[in-house]
Amino acid sequence: MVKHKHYRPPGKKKEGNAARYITRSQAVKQLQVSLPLFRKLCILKGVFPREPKKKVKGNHHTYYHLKDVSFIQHEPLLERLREIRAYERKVKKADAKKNRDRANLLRQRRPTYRLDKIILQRYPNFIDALRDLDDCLTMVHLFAALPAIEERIEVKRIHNCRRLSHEWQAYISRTHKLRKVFVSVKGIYYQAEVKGQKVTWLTPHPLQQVLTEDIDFNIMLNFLEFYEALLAFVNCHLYRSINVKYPPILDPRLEALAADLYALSRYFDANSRSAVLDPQASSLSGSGNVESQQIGDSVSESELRLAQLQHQLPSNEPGALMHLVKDVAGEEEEDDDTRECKKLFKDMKFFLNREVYRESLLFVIPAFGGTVSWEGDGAPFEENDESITHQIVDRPMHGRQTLAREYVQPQWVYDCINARIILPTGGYLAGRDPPPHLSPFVDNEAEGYVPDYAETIKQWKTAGRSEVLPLPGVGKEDLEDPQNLLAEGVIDRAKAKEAVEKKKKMMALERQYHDELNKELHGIPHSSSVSNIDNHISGKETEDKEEFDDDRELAKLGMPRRKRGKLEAVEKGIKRKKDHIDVIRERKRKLKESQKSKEG
Amino acid sequence: MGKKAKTSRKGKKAWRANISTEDIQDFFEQSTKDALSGGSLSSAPAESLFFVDKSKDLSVKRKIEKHRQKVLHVESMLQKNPFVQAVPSSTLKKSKKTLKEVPKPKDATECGPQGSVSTSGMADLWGDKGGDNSKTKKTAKPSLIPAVEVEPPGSSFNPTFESHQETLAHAVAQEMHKVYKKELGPQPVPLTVPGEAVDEEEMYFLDADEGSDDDMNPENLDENEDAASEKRPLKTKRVTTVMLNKRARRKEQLKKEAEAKKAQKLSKEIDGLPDILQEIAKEDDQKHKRHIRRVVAKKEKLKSCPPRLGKHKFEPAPVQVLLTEEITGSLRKLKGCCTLVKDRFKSLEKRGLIPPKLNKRLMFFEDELSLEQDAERKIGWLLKLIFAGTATCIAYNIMPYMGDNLLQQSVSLLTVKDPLFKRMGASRLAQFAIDDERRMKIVEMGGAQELVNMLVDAKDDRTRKEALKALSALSPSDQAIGALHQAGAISVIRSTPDSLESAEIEKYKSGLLKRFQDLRYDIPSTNVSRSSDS
Repeated sequence: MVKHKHYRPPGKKKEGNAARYITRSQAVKQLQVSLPLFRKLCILKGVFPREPKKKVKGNHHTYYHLKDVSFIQHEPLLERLREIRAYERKVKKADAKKNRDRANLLRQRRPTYRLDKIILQRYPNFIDALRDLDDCLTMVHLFAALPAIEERIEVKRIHNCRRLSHEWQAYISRTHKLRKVFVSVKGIYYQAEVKGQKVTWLTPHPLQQVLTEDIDFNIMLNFLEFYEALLAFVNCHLYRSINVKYPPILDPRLEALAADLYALSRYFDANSRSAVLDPQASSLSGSGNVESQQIGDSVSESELRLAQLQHQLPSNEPGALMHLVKDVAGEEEEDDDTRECKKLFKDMKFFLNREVYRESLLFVIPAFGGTVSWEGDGAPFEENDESITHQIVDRPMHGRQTLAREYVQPQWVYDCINARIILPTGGYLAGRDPPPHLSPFVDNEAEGYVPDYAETIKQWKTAGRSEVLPLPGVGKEDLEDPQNLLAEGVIDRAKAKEAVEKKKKMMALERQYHDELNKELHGIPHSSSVSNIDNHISGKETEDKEEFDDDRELAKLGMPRRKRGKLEAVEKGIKRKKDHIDVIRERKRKLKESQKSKEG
Repeated sequence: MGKKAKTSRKGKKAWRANISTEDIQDFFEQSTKDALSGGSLSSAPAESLFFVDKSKDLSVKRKIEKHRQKVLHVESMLQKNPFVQAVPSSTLKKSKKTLKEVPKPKDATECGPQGSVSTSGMADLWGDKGGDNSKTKKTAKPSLIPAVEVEPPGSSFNPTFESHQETLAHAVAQEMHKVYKKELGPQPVPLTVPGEAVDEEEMYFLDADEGSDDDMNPENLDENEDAASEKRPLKTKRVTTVMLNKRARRKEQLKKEAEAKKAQKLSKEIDGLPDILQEIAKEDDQKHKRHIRRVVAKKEKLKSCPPRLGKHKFEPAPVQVLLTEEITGSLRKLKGCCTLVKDRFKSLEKRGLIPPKLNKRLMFFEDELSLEQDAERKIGWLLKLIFAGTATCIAYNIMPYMGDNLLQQSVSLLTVKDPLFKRMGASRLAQFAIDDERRMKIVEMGGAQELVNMLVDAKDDRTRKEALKALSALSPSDQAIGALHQAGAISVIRSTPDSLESAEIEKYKSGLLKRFQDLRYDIPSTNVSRSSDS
């Protein structure tokens, strides 16, 4: 009897895709949780749907790997969440029975859960966490800018997001880890390099964010929940690594003025200073803290007082921040990049006008060693400070300008950062149309096309370093790159050439032989034409140049098939790129012509 | 008429004394009382007598609430009395022990906020152990797509012209893709079918016809059967032994012949074995190539969108790019994106972290075409045409096996009446015609004929130019030229008027005509027809 392909005796277990993957509803049933809870667990544990090769239950289901599901099943958090659910029922019951005391009591003692185990499980090393921080940072920064909505987003969470994002920014700014900034339509992209990992994140523009209906907010909030915890731990680790106590205590006055970032930087100031000046005292105060836990409230009050005292530190003196930077720098060996970034805005004092986006610039300028102030209460220095070198302005200026300082648009700051030099302010003066804002995330050399302004910046850069400018068309080496692939071929090339030569000679001889045979057949008397052959060959020498190109082809032929395919793919890619660049050039040329014709 | 019957007077007279006058007395009493108290109550208006007592009135809702607030007696009995001390638990010691264990040694730096998730106890997670850590499950990244994709340089708030055009073109191409899909896709089944209303009488006839057929059929069948049964005995003839022998012989012969043929075929096949082997090898090679192509295409696809994870397909979010007039160069006036939440959500979907949801926007055609309309206004049709062309060309290069579909589309674009679509199709064909194979494919699909037709019908220079461009892109292939010649391209090209604006038309024309001359097609068409006749 022919055994049916899919026949399975009743007792036997399933195998293959049918056994390995289960649908979502099956998973929910297996875990005995509600669907929202399942979703939450998946997000927290980092379990995501998969696409099996063969969808046993149909194409319209979402599949999970069985092992993933059992991974969730063994999570202690699952039990904890069940307990919480039961507890919520208790609260509900107390409410229903009008037992207000009990309800209140229960509410106060609500069980919570912690995500530290899960975070440690998902990111066993700190580097792993850093690698996965992009989405986390973007989400936290986004929610920090969202409006609180009844029943959907609590105010508390938004405040928490704001705090976390500021803490992160303060760290980056303080340690000068910021590398690139790109202002796009979507928002502002930042890239920092922390412990050798490039962390990119996106922050929204200072605009009211629209919350559309087609977004599942529960999913977003679940993600946010995990990310908040993750970022808190990451911040904690980073702060500890530079000897700053982690949950920072901020000056409430500055906090109220929405100058958290500045408050944080002051906190850094005070903290690291005390740490450097006498580490013993700090350790003492640390032990004092342990004691004071019992005292509770009074301590927190005194800490607040301390924070307020920080405010009275002489920060107005120029370079107060610099001191600190030195201190921090002493502890950590830095790479060249950081040193370069640190010095960019050295000895420059910025003042932000009311209309510019303060949050971003307050973060960016100190990250590159500048001092910055703004219009409003709590600012470190006033607008009429004599020592201000640059004032950031984003509207046409009428009169009232001081000669001692330059009035530039915010784009100048970003462009300086990306170019890593102080650009001439001429193009960026207030009221003018600034030069284009180039994306620092594009590798111009790799792309093969360099915009004009990038070219200019390069020249300025080399002029600043007083170096010899390399000839334009640097990208050529890249174009020649496929020949590197021919490395093996190159070795054989000489041999191959010789072989070709020989072959040619042989061919010529053979042809002659045939000719002679023909002639003999036709009865034409034999004549020595051996000398002709040499002529023939010499004539071919002129074609040798073309042959040289064919050389490559030949080397290609000698290669194994896979390598050849690779080479062809590379060549094709390069050709495509080249075509693409040509299109851009053409377009540009047309534009120029049209402009000329317009002028003319 | 009789007299009225006499009634007894006796009773009535006697009764009169007994009639009670209490009501009258009551009335008098009442009236005197009223007079004394000042006005009768019954005559007074209702308002003066009654009023609505609002002091203790509750709204219905509150009344219900109040009712609900009432604690049941049973419950109240069970509630804790503050004056009664709780009886200490008998298992006090044990519970204390557990209590001691529960509060964890908290860090000195306890952090404040307590949400649903406690982030308190900020011990450094990665602090104590530097390199060593327990082996954990290595989870593969669910997607190749980075979490935060940096926008192309054209999406800068103040981009360079070139990069901006580039990004804008991508955005337009995306939109145009949607439009094409809608236009070139199969037409939906109409909800109503147009037709003529049938008269009642005719309807009757229709029914009658059908009815009659139904009625007739069984009878017919019966008749046929009868006839057959009658004829059957007549038809059968006796088979003689001779005939049987003959048949057997014939059968044998046929069998032999078939065998011989088979053997011959086999020997032939054996002779042609190398050919067959070659064919098989070729087929295998092709299969292998197709497989590789599919794998590569799949990988490419995974880089741009997630695998199918649920009921719905993932739909990418539109490109965020400023329109030309929106570029101000000032950060303050920037019209930035304000749907970043949606962007993040889409990113989650794109990375395959959550199964995609149905796009609600698709159901109500809200602002689907907004960008496209803007772009139309801004950059004009021609630019759009070129951009769409380049975009599709790139697509063709990347996914060669999808190309035939695109080619078919382009050719069908030529048949559309609108000159814009004609131009679009022509430009696309010009982009595709890179090698002879593709050119032949275009010719096979009837592209050459369509192009010539387009050139004939063309009313403006741009259309003519595009057509000529496509034709000249086809011209390097000899077979294609032949096909063009058959389509009568020469006379049409000759008759195409030169234009003052674009010298390109002339260039294409001369190039094409030269090509025809090279291949000796350039004899007057009449001659050709004559030669073909003879």
